[in-house]
Amino acid sequence: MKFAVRRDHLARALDDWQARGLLASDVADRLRADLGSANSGSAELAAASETNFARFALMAGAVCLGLGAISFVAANWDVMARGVRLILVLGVLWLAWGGAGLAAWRGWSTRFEALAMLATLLFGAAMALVSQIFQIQGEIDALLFLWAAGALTGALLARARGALAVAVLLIAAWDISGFDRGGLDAQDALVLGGLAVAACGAWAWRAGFAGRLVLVGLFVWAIGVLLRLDVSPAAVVLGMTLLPGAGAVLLWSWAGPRHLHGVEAEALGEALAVLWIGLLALFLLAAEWDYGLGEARGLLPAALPGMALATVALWLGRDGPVRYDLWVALVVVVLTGLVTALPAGPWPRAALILAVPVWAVRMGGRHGLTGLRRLGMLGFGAALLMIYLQTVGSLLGTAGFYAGAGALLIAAAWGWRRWGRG
Amino acid sequence: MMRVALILLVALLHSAVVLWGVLDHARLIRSGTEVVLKATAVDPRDLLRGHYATLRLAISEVPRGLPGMLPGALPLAGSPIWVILAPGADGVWQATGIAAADPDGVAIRGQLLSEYGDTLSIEFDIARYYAPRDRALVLEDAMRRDSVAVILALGPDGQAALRGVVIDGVRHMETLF
Repeated sequence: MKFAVRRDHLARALDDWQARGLLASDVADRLRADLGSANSGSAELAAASETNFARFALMAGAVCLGLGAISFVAANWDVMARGVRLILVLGVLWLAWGGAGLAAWRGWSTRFEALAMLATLLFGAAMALVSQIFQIQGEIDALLFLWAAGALTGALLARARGALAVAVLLIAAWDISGFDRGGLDAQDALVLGGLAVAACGAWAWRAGFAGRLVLVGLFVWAIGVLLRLDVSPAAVVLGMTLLPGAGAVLLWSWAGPRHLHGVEAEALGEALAVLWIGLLALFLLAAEWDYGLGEARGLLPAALPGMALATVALWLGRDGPVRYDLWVALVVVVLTGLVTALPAGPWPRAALILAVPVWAVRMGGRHGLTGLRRLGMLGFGAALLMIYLQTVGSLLGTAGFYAGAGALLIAAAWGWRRWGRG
Repeated sequence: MMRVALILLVALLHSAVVLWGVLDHARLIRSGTEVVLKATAVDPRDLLRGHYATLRLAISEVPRGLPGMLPGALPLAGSPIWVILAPGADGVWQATGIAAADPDGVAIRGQLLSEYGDTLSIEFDIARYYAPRDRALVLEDAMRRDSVAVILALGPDGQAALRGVVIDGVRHMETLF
C-alpha cells in the first residue's frame, strides 16, 4: 500500500511537471514506464483500496459479531445454569489456547503471541468468573498467586514472550497485594524465584520487553522490602549507588559484547529512571533523611560496591566508544554516594536530579539512543517542575528559581546544540 | 508438533486449576456440616468479580470471656483461630468458644485480626455473596434490617463454603451446577 501511494504521488507529480513544462514529454514517458506505466499505478492503487476496504469490512464485521456474542452472553448470564457458564468459560479459554496452538503450528508468530497473551489473561478471568459463579470465597492475593503461577508455567511451556510479560506483571501485582505482610517471608522467596525464572526465559528467547519488566518487578519488590523492613540508611546508599554502577556495566555491555542481547539500552534507561526517582525522594525528604543520618555515621563505604562496578566497567571499556560516558557514570556514582550518605540538604540533590537527565540526553544523542534521549528530556522537564513546586514560597523564591531554571535551560539548549545530535 | 502439544498441555493445566477450585468447593458443599449464622453487610463491588454483598458474620466479634477459652495467651494477630459453634434455640448457630488449634466438634476457621478490650475481632473466608447488582442491593437492604443469615457448609478442619442465604426466614440455596 505504501509503495502504491508513493507511486501515485509520483505519477501526479510527473503530470504536473510535464504540464508546467518542467519535464520533457519523452523523459516523463520514460519515467512513467519505469513506474509501471501511468495508469497501472492508479489501477493498482484502486485495487489495493478495494482490498483494504474488504479487509476493513471483514474486521469490522468480526468485531460486530464478537460484540453481539458478548452482549448476548452478558444479557443471559444470570439465567444460564452454572454448568453452562462453566463450560462457556472453559470453552473460551480452550478457544484461545487452541488458536495459539494453530498459530504456532502454522508459524504465524504475531498471531500466536497475541492469542497466547489473550489466553493468559482469560485464565485469570476464568478463575475470577468461576469464583463468582460458584460463590467460592477467597482473597484477591490467592487468585493473583494462582494466576501468576499459571501464567508463568504457560508462558514457559508455550514459549510465549507476550504471556511471559503478563506473567511478570502478575508476579509484581501479587507482590504488591501482599504488601502488608511483615518482614521477609516465603512470598518474597516465591516472588524472587518467579522473577528469576522469568528472567531466564526472557534471556533465552531474547524477550526484551519481558526482561525489562523483570527489572521493574525487582524494583517494586526492593522498594517494598525497604519500606517493610525499616531498612538502615546504609542499604539505601548501597542501592542508590549500585544503580549508576549497574548503568555503567550496561553501557559497556551495550557498546561491546551485548550480553543482554541489546536490551542494555532500555535497561540503562530504567536504571537511570529509578536512580532519578530515588534522588527525587531524597530531595523531597531531605530534612527527614538528614535527621536520620545524624545517628548513622560512616555510610560512605556502602557506596564502594557501586564504585567498584563503575570502575570495572570503565576498565573494560577503556578503549571503547563509550569511554567518556563511563567516566561520567563513575562521577555520578561518587556524587550519588555523597548526597545520599552525607547530610547534604536539598540543593545538591536537586542539582543531581537535573544533572542525571542531562547526562541521559547527552549520552542518548552521542550514541543514537533515541529512547534514552527522550527519557532524559522527560526527566529534565519533570525535575524542573518538581523543583519549582518545592521552591514556590521558599527562601529561594519563585523569581530566583525562574532565573536559575532559565539559565539552566539555556545551558541545556547550548549543550543540546553541541552534543545532542552527536 | 511438540510445541502444539505443549500449548495444549498449558490449556489442560489452566483448565485443571479452574476445575480444581470448582470441585473442591463442590466437595465441601456436599459433605460439610451445615450451620446457620447471622450476618450483616456493607458495600458491594469488585473490580474483577463483579457485584456482591459484603458479608460480615455476627461471630466476627466474640467476647473473650466465653467458656472454653484459650488456656494461655492469645495467638498473634494474623494467626489462624477456630470459633466453636453450637445451634441456638432459633436455629441460628452461636459462638461458644475459641481455640488456637483445630478443636473437636463443629468449628469455623478464621484469622485473628485484633483484640481490643474484652472483644476479639476475627476475619473469616466467608466475606462475599456474589449476585447481580439488583439482587445484591436487595440482600443488603435485608441485612440492614437484620433479617439475613448465611448457610455454611463446614469441613472437618473448619474450612467454610457458602451453601445459601436466609432472607426474612426464607432459605435461598445455591445450586452446584
